[in-house]
Amino acid sequence: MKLNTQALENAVGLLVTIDSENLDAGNSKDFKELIQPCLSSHGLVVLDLSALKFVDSSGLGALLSCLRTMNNKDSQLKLIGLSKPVRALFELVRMHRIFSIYNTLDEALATL
Amino acid sequence: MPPPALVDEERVTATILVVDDTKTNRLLCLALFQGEYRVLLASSGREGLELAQRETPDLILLDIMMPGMDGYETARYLQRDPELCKVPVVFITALSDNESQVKGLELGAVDFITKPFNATILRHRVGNILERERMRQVAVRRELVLKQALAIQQALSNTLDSAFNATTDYLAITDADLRIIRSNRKVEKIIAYLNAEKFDDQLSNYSFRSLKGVPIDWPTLIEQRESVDGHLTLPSGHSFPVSVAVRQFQVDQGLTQYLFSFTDISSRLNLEKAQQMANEHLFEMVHELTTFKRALDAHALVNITDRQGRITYANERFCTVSGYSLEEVLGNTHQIIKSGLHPAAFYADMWATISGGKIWSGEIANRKRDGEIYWVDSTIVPWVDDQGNPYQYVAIRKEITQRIKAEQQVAQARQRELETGSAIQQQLLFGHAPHDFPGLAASSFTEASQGIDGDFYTYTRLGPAVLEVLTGDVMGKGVTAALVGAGVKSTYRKVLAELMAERRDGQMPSPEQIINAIHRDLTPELIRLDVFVTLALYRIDRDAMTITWVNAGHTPGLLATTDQPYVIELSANNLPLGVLESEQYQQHMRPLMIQDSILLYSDGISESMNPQGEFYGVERIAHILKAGQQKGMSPTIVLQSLRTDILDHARSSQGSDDRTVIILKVRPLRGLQRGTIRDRREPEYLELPRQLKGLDILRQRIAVLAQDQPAEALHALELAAFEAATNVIRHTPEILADTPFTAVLARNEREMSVELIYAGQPFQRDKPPNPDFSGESEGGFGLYIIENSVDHVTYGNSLIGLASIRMSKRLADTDTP
Repeated sequence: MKLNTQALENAVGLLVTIDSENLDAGNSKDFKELIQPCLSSHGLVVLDLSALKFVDSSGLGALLSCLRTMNNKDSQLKLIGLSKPVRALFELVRMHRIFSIYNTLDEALATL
Repeated sequence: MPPPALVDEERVTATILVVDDTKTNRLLCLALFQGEYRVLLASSGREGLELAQRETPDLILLDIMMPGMDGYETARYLQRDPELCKVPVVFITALSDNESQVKGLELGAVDFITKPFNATILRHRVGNILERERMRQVAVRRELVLKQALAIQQALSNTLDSAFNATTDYLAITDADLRIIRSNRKVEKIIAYLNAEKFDDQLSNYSFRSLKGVPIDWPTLIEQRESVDGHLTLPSGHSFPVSVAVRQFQVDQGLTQYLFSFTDISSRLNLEKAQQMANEHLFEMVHELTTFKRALDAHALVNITDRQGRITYANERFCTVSGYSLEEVLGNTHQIIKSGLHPAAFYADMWATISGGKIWSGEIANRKRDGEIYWVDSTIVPWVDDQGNPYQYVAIRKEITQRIKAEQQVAQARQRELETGSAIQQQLLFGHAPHDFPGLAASSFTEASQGIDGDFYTYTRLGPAVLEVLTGDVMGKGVTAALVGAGVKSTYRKVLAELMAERRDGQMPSPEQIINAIHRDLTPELIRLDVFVTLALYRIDRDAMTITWVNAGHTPGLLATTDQPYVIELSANNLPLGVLESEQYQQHMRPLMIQDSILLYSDGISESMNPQGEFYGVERIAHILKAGQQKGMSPTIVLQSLRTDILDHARSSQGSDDRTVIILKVRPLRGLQRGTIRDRREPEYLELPRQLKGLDILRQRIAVLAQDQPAEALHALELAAFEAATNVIRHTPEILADTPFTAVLARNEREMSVELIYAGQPFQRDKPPNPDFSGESEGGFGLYIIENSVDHVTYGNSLIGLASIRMSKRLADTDTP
């Protein structure tokens, strides 16, 4: 599990790209620890999930944890680049209504 | 009472009572006696009696002829009075006849005077009577005094006699010439006892010597003021210890006599002797004790504590070892040397023991003043009072730090040996079950009882279709056992190579040839080492569909086959290696069928004991083997079932002996390409570790299983299987943490499935899962995801001790080649 981060060009915030094919019980704990500093220091975080091919309930739980952290401090978390199976999981457990999900970074930033 | 004195009474004036009815006579008498005597006058008998009783006169002059009570009657009354009867009565009467006089004398009259009387005669008569009476009274009194004096003398004499005879001393009285004139019974008794012929009354014939043996003559003894101890020797020659005291006294006419008192001092002397011996003994004991104490002080740490645990004494060694000075130690408790290495319960037990009056012994770690730990072998002895309550505790300790250190080093060395043995075992003793042997699946596990196993096994491919399994158990433990095991394995390889080389036809040596060759090589060595090895060699020829084996005293293999309802025990009738050099090992052979399962085990499995001491037994092993074979289970699953059941039986993960199980299963041959339709009827068994990070292989194999299916279906099955596997891992009991679980990936015409088989409890699923979709909860989606991703979920038990969850998804209507 690795996270790539870069400052957004057209907005004040951070783009975090997950560099892993899966986010599941095997690495969700690592992910939570890695992303924590990014969340606490930014008012806007865009999380790029396009590399992910597999997310399980543990991975989903980790993402929900991120969302709550941001919501609690009136910050924003936006998800982009969900692959088909990942989107399928979100829809299965109706989390597509909870998260702000966009196809691309531009779409995500356009809503600001 | 003082004795009556013999002195003359004071002469007092006598009293005369005159009783006469004639006044002239009364006055005449008054005139006659007045001046010389005291005169009382009575005019009648009655008045005379009253006066006499009141005054007790010394003489009564009584007229006979009186009116009323006459002289006689009055005299009769006087006679009856105890006091007055002694008073002399003189009748004065005109009657001069003899009859009257006789009557008067009978009534106690002392005289008779007839009227008219001559005054001078009367006065003389009265004077005589009174004098006579006075003389009589004096005589009576003197007699009384004499009687009393005699009685007193008699009493004194009796007392003296009693004392003289009753005393425990020997008393003898001699005259001035030392002739014994009197002696007490004690002396007579002793002389009679000593059987002296005759009592010799001459004291000078007896001799006396002081206790030191110096003769002392009698005159010298007489002069001694104090008593003298010595030995008295009788004329008969008998001698006994006495203390002599002599008193001189005077008797009549100034004669001197001696009282000799001899006190028997034999008891006293014996007592003194015993006392002296006791003193000497005591001295010796004190001397001995001093020596002991010196030895103890040189050797041990000694200290004494009072009832409250305060130290009241400590010897030099105690101070030297602990590093504390005596001043620092005294008054303190043992808290100052407490190491803290022992639990509180250890000290509590110690106090309970010694305060109960019992001796406590044990090894204690204490701390020196500089903080260094020292070990002592301690014995604490409570000293108890009459009521049994301890009043002080004496602790004797021997320092054993060096020994404890040595023991720790030995223990470390032993641990290193165990580790070394373990390493040897892991590297040399256990072969890996082949995963890719065509038409054969194998699985094995071994569990060492104490770090090092006597068990060993190895798999050897002898050709594309021939697999050999060598398994055995060295009787013994530790490095030796591990090295012998490794030696057997290497000998097996060497023998195999040599036998192959010898044969020119390219044929393989038979199992019995191999075992006999190993036997020739090793048995003399094993006998010399006093070690023996049970060994079994199984060869499975997948082409010929046979199993050939030789069993040298090892537990017999078990075979579950389709055409037999019961498990078959593969016969074992040879001795272990290292027992008999002349032993000839023979092989056996059986045909095999598809789905046949063979199970090899060490006796640590069948003899796993439960807390009640009952063996697990071969029947249970056979039962699980047969069940697994009938259900077509993989060796991995059967192995898991067996392990779980044994753990359940033994209630402990480790047995007293090594446990090894090997399971082989004959499977249909299939092509090398997995995932083709031809192969889909045969499920794939995946052994998965119970670790969240080890599940990638599951997804990869599902991807192969469902490679021709739509991506959604593949992902859904993948997701469900992953969620289920995560659940299995998360709910693993600690005791099973290192036990893998199995995923069975299968397909048929209608569906594809993933079944997870694991040791542990099945999922509890009472009602449909209902997770929180609000985003507030980060968990609780697992079961919901599983049940909504696949078409069927079945929870169940597949084999003893194993739970399962099977998830299936219908195949899409795709054309398959």
